[in-house]
Amino acid sequence: MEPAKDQCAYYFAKERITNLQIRVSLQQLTGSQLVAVSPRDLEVGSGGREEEEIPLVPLANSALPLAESTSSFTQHSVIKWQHKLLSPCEIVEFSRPVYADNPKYKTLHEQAIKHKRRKKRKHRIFTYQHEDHYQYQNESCVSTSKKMEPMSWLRQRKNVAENTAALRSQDTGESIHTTEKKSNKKYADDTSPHQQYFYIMADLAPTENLGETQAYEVVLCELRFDTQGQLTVTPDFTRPATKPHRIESYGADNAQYEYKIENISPIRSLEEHQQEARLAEQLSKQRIEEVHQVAGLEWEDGGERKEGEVRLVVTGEITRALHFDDASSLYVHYALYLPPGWSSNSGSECEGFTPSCVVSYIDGVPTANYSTPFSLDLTRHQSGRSWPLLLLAAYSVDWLGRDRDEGYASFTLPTPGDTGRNDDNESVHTVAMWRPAQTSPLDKMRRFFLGGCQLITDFTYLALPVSTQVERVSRLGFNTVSSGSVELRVSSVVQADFTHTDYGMVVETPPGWQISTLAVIDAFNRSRQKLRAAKQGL
Amino acid sequence: MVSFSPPPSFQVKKSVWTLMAEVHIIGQLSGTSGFPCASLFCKWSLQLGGGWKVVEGVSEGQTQADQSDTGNTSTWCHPIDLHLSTRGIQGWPRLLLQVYRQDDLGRVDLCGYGVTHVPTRPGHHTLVCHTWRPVGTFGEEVRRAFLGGGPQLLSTEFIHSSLERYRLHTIAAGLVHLELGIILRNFEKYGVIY
Repeated sequence: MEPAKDQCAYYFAKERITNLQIRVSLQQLTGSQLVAVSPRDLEVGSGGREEEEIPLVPLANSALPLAESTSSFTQHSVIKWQHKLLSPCEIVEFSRPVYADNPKYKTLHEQAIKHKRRKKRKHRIFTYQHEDHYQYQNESCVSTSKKMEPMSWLRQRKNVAENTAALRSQDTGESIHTTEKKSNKKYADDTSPHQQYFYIMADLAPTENLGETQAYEVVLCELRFDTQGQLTVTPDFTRPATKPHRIESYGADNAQYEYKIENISPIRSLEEHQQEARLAEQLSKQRIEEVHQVAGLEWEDGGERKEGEVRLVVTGEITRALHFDDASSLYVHYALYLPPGWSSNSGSECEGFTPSCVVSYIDGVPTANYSTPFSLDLTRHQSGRSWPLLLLAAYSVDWLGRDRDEGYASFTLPTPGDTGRNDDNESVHTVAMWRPAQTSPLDKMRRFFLGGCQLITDFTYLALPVSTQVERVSRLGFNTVSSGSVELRVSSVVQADFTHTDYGMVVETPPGWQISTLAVIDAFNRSRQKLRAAKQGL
Repeated sequence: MVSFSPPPSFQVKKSVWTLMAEVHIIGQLSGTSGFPCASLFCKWSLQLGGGWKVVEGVSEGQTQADQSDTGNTSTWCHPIDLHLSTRGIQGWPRLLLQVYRQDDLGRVDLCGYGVTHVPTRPGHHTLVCHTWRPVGTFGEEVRRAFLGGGPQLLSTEFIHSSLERYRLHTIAAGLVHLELGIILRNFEKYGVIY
């Protein structure tokens, strides 16, 4: 069976719906009528009837003899949007004299008195407007299970203000609500909250208990209209109604009721349609202009750049450190190395530390997650050479609070379009680290028991600067041991002023093969002319 | 792939140069993996530099709480649909993620913080964000294991700014998976190569 919510339909209205009219027919089914409309009966006989049509047997013209002498209940109502019809319980409640002086409930009180005086047949169909706040009682279930939703203040923060205001005003009659008297209006105004609810209900209590308790109230139709102009109707009323909906009352009489809902809103005239269309066009044009204005920011260079200067903006984060086996907690110190001819603009963090993270085993790999962002904004002048590097150093902190070096590495900032070599995670670069090794066993024991850092004083061991005089770099005698690796996720963007640099190629000397082809053709033509001249001479 | 656009001619009208550069981010927060079994939800927010502006779309939100049935992954598929415009390329947007859990005993807890920056190349990207959570004293960790309510950051400054990050003591938490599709517009007119 489909969930009941799927029977709802969505309609769009450009403005407030003021001409919505719905006709609701509610009829109680007596025993004989039940027999008359049962599907078994249709299949069996009475040839004149079609299969789909199950007419509501009107009480007076019933062809079948009635079993009971009491008349069953039938009511038809035409209801407009936010039209308030009092329920039997409300009639009883509001006709109490305590409401006579209360300005908020005065109109309701008068209506209730009128109903009581009329003493006609009972009304079972009534409505709840938006101000009756029925939606807070009805909307609390999201599924059919009876599981209580846990109170989660984190998630309810958005609606708490609205909820408490509504619940406070729900005390009927006890406290006078001192806010605006607009709640007496039947039609909503533009300051209403996001959605407006309207419920068409029926009270299915047994006839003698009508008006005593609210336990028998049943929702026939729920309408919801939100600020985007969308109207939600549950259940739908424009599908060709094959069968009227059937509901059962849980009262002492176990009566069955049928109800039908039809949409009989009057159609607007053509003029009004056109006017609405024009207004909608205007609004949409305004909206497009607004978007253009907001997005229409002028491009700012963020600093003057002379000719031939290139700006490199790098955004990235140090995501994690892996494979550091004998460290209990780890942090990474990153520093930017700029070759000569480069400078950093304001807003770039040239040096920083990650938080220190306890190394834990995830999937068997000792990992420390950092997810530390950094952003760099660098300019390369015309005299600049080479490319900047990010120097990384990993240190571990043990339980005594001592720092110990765990690894060093250098990482060249990637150019735009350089994706990392990591397969399952793109633009992630894995940088392997090494640390200076201890050769003698004494050194190893010293490192294990006492810790301490062997800081690299000469950073040329990490990255070779460009302006070096020596032609051969020798690292002979420097012992290192590999330690873990650090992953970074980096994206870079390059901005350069291409208008002043002429990248067009001067096409004066065509490439080699073209010369030879042209020359060959020339030579051929010349020789042909010579041949002709020679022939003519003969 | 580096692409060079042909230099614009000098007869270009002024109106071309006042076109803004725009970035569209269309994607989803797919889910998590590696977090302990519980009902997880994520609060995400977008962080922009000074020259950026959100034209359309919501720049922060909260996913639903999803309980994993199969293994220790949970799935949100929470949509992210943003249209940003910018004056310059600095301050590229970043997504700030905070993962919370609520388990069947009703404990609400922080599970992890993470930051990931929006890719700068157009196309479809699958991102993985590794998260961490702050670690308290031994007593606080024991209490967190039984009652929940571990230490949380007092302000989200620590996640994205570099000033005082060294004061944090953290431990690794799980991974958050995102899928983002990026569309860039008008960046070539300003000589930006991505």
